[in-house]
Formats: sequence, C-alpha cells, structure tokens
Amino acid sequence: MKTRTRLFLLSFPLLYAFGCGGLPQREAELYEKGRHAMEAREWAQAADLLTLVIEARPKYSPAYILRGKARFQLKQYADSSKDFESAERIGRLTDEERFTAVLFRARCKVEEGRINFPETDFRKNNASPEERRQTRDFFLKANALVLDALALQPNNYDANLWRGYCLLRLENFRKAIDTLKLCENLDSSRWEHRFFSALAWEGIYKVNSQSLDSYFAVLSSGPRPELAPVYEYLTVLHADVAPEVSQ
Amino acid sequence: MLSALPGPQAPPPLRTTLTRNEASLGAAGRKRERADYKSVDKYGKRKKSARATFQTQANETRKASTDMRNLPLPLQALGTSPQRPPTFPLAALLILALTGCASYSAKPLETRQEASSIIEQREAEGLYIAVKDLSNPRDSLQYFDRDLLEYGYVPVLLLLELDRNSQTSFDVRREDIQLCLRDGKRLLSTDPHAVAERVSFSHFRSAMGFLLLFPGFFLASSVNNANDELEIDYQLKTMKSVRINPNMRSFRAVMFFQVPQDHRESFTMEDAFIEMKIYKQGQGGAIGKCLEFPIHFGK
Repeated sequence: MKTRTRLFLLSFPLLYAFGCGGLPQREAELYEKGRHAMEAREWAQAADLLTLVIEARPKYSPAYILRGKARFQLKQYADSSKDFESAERIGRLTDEERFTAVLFRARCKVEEGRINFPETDFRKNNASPEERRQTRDFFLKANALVLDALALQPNNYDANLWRGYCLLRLENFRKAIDTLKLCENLDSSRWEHRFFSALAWEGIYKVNSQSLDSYFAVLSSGPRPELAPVYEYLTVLHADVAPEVSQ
Repeated sequence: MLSALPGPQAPPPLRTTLTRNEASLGAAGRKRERADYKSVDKYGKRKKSARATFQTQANETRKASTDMRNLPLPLQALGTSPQRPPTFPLAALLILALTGCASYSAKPLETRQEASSIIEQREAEGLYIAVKDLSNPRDSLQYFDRDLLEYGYVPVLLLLELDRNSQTSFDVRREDIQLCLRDGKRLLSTDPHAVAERVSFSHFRSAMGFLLLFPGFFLASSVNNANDELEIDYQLKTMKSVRINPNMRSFRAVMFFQVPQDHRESFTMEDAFIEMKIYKQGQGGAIGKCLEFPIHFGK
C-alpha cells in the first residue's frame, strides 16, 4: 500500500478521535459546566452553555440530549423535541441515550397536549370538537413515541406510566388502567400511576369513593412540590362533588 | 421362452378348480376356498361367489394395467386402453368441480346484544354507543362471506341505543364517523358498493364453464345472482345517516373503512378507535349541541 493511501486511511480514526467523536478542551469544559448546571437545576444556564457547545460542535449528539432535557424543564417543549430529534438524526447514541431521546419526545407531546387541554378540563364537554380532536392528536403522537420507547425498554416505569397516561387522555380508560397496573408491579413506591389510575376510573364511573381514596392515599405522605397536580385536580374536583364529600 | 425375458409378466389365468396344493392349505384356507365354490348350478357347474367374481375383476384390471405399461408412452398418455374411462367426461367433471356454482352465504347482524350491555361502551347524554371490530377472519367470513381485511377493508359494527328514560333525539351522520389508527391516520367510511364490487365473485369460473358450452350459462347466471345478493346484503348492513329517537331506540349497522395502500404491510387495529360526532336535537327540530368523542374497541 502506498504511503499516501495509508495516511489517508489513518486520517479517519484520527479525525474521529480528536474532532468529530470527542470534544476539544474548551467545548469539553463548557459541556461539563452545562452538566453541573443541570445537576444544580439551573436549567436556563445549562441550556445556554450547551448551546455554545452545539455551536462549536454541531455533530455532538450528547449535547443535544442534555440541552433537550434543560429546555424540557424550561417548558420549551417544541425546542426540546427538536433537540432530541437532532440527537437521533446525528446518531452515535448509546441505547440509553436513544431511549431517553424517544421518551422525552413523547413527553414533549404529552405536555403540549396538557397545555392545550389540561386534565382538569378534558372530560368536560365545553370544548369544541375541533379543539378536542387537536388535543387528541398530541396524545396520538405521544402514544406512538411511547410505544417506540417501550420497544427499547419494555419494563421501564416511566415509559409504562406515560403510555398509561396517553391512553387515559385518548379516553381508552380500561386499557389505561391495565397499563398503569404494570407500573404498580415495576415500582410501587411511586405515586404517579395511582393518580392516573384514579383519573381513569373516574373516566368510567365519574367521581367515586374509590378514586377519592386514591387521591388521599397519594397525599397521605404530606405536602410535597411534586404533588402539585393532585392538589390542583382536587381543587377543581371540589366543585363537582357533594358537599358532604367535599368536607 | 417368454418367461425367461425380464420385465412384467402376465398373471396366470384364473383357476376355477381346486388343486392338490389348495387342498393342502390349512383348515381355514380350505373352508374359505370351499365357500367360494360351494354353490353349484343346475347343470352341475360350480357358480362363482361374489368373492371369486371380485378376484376375477381385480385380476383383469391388474392385467390391463400391465398391458398399458407395456404400451409406448404416447399411447399411455392418450389412455388408449379399452378398460380406461374416457378422458373427456373426466376433464369436464374436473372443470365443473373446480369452478362450481357461485353462492353467497352470510349471517345477518346479531340483534341480541345492545350497546348498553357492552363493557367498552360510551354514554353521552342518554345515548349509548359501542363499536366492534369485525375485521378478524372469523367474524368477517361469518357476516360478509369474505375475509375483508385481505381485500384491504375493515368492517366495524356500530351499536347505538337510547336510554329507556331518555326522550331526546340524536342525529348520527355517516360522514361524521372516522376510524382513527394508532399513528393518527383518520379513515373515512367507504361506500358499500365499492366494497361489494371489489370482493365480488369472479366471472373466470363461468369462462371455464364456457369451455363446456352449456354449463357456462349456468355458471354465469349463478355468479351474477351471488354478486347481486352480496351487494344487497352489504347495502342493507351498512350504516346510513340515522336519527335515534324514542320511536327507534336501538340501531346497529356496519361501516367499511379502506386501509390505505401504504398502511397495508404494517396495518394493526391495536389502539385504533372510532371518532364520531353526534348532534343532539335542539328545540323545534333544530340541530342542537354537537358531541364529539372517541369510542374504543376494547379487548
């Protein structure tokens, strides 16, 4: 083999090792800072730092994943979804990263649907048919993505939880309950699946003592910021139930 | 001289008298032999029993087939043996058996189950709605005499029932009902005439029948009749726009949805549902409130 050809062939792994695959010193530092900001829940700062990394190395997919997560926390769902899509398109993701990208894309759709039509309203008939259909489209897309995520990790609690939630919002209540039962087997210490199950039971039988008991069981561990959706829902529900139940 | 030659030999002629060797057979063998020849006619000649007659015929057939095998190949193909049944009637029978008369046979839609008794039903202001997927081969063959999914159609049974205490009227229009697939693709219902045309009996069988001239006319007529029956049945079973009111509290009908060409390979009814709009009748017969919701198929 000629020396020129040998050098040409050798240049590919070298380029991959020092250029495209890894990060130069400055970008590596920025990426680390971004990661620390994420850990410190400084979402905006993390997103800015990771944007600098992406500008310098537009083919570095882990930066897109991290920025996507930061943007998700900042409720910038459309941008977040685009970041995860970019990461998937670039490729070179580990199985875990691919799963994260697909599941977060699904969650972006779920959150967009929730903004469009919150769960406190979705069973009320005051929305127009077009509005309801538009919201359903978000959950159809989310459901398709969650199924992709479940194909990668069938026993993942979050993937099953959001599959159950999508089915609930598509008003497939019985199937949602069946899916959320799987979550109970996967991690019984978490509360989200109980809250969603209670919502699904209400979808079938309206507000009932069983669903109310489920909400109170979730809240029995005391007030916590992550339980805000349950409190919010109970506040809305308060007007719909009989006075003796409200008390 | 001949017996010394290789190849099949002609069987020995049928013996009609008992020999010393046969007499030397065991008691059971002798008894059987006696039974074959025990009847004697009025001239003192022994009559053959049915068993002996059969043996004679079998031997003749064997001989004939051996003779056939000795014939040159082209003559074998023509079946020139005088014992062979003629080829033409056999071929004709085969054509008739292959083609046969066309007939349509499908069960009417079941009327025993009402929408309110189905687990996966939906209730909206006193109207119960349920749907059933009839695309599985068993149901499809039972109600439509065809596996419609094979032809790219999904039949869905829609059941409507007005609550017995309700005095309201609801308008349900065919164009307001869609099948929503898992990927969000929405399918509008197809005209039953198009479905019937697609799955109708082929006239190929009558073309085969025309090879025999007269059966062709019968076959063509049977195909036409079967196709007419099929189309009428599909039309009768299909959903039309309907008004559910206290005078007509229950209604059931089928809707056909055509699976798009690009969905044929990966088509699934998993997570699919029916999306429909119904109109509650307002004051003085005016169109009232529009209700929109999904109805799922259940397990």
